[in-house]
Amino acid sequence: MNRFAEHCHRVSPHDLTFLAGVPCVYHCHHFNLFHDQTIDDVLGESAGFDLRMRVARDQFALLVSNLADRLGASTPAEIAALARSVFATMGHGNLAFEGAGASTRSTGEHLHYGFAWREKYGSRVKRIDPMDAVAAGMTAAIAKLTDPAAADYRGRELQCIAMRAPHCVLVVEKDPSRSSALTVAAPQILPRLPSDAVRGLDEDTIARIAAGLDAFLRTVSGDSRGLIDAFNVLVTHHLSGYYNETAFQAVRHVEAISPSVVGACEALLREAGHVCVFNTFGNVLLSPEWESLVGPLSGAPHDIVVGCTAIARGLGFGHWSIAEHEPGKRLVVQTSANYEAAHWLERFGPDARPRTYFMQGAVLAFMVLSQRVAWKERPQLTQAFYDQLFRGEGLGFRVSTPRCLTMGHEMTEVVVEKER
Amino acid sequence: MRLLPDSSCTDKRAYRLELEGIPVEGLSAALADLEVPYTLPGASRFEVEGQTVLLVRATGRVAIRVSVDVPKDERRAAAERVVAAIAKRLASSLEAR
Repeated sequence: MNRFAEHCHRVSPHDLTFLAGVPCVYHCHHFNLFHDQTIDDVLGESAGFDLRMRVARDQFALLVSNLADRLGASTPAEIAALARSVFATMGHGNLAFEGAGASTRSTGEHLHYGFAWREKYGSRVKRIDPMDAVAAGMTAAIAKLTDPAAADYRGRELQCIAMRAPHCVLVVEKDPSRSSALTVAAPQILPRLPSDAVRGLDEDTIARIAAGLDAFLRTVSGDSRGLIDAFNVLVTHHLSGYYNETAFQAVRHVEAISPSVVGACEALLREAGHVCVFNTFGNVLLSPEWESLVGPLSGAPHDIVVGCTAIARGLGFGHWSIAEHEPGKRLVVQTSANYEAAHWLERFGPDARPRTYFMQGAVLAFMVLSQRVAWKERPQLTQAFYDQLFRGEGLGFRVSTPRCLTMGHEMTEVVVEKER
Repeated sequence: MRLLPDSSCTDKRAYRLELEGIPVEGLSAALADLEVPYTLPGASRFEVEGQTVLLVRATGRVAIRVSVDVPKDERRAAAERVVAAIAKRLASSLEAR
């Protein structure tokens, strides 16, 4: 059972989800690994790890602090126990803390990122850098929360199972940077939300499926290892500010110092949407859980798009709606609020460019999956199949975002069209 | 019964067990003492030989999900042990009748 379920809140009608007031979404290990690798590819391994650690630190510090207030945890031991429990419940693995303040250290077993990396690549690749920036950030968060002076700390991973250590070991050191906390939470997001959400095709069906998924996900939590094994993937209930802040800082960094490669950076962030839809959504659609909730797949393109839209809502990405769908030719998905835009607007204000990269890539992937996958034949969702679908000779579709919440419009509208 | 790989991202953890005429109720009864609480409507969950078996009652789909802790090159064998255990229980269940 998920002991924190009562602190999970879904904002209707926008399908945005919060845990103790901190925005959160569900993503699988394939997307998590791709996202982190993208950040490191853009910024370099060391700077990438540092950014990911700091963002995770600030997000988890806010989460644990909010939960501590709600649950009455005040001593260092109580805060550490609470942190360990919520980390595992969210599917991030088992992270045991020792010490407090500057002496804080942690030992990790089945940490999601390191474990997932070893699972996916460990037999083929020898890793030389640690994986668990998120756990390092959580360790630094606990150091601050258990420090009477509430000093800032940075987390470092000394041993990592992705580097073939027997378990993960993380320590902290003082952080002299004094950077302000990089968080956007319910008090900033909720006032911006419109009173109603844009609606589209098959609303009743999508709402019913999304509700069923939401109800199931509320009961799901990390097992004895702190892992969530569902839909044939490893799922995390993650803080969406982690994804948003790291992605947005990476692209803004590139805009500032190397504008010529912004296009490549944005393409990678959109590709993360492809990776998520192929792996997470694809495995959800093919899973026994889906078959139990919705029934066997028909394979019809529109049914696949309806299913994917429902999954997006169920995972807390926002109230995505199908405005138009001409199978194989045109797909338009709209939303009045999504997890990317809310963060961008609070942090950076309206911009001249659309910044909902994940949604752009995801909707394009909806079209590809609906047209090019023989669902009734129960395909194997392998890397080779992904490459065939998304990295072959042109996708055959183009995506545009004529309206975007991050540009100050009333909705984000993603349009996928067949290339002529 | 037939064991087939299910949708997977090369991790060899997911398998589908084709029942080939064995009634779903019979399978459910044979595994009754191995059932664990599960909140997904329309599905039952069992722990067999340390692995997870999910049964979608309406469609008869039987999914075997091998633990991530089982080394990759041992996962197929782990799934086969589940099938063998299920077959044994079904045979015992038939004899008991």
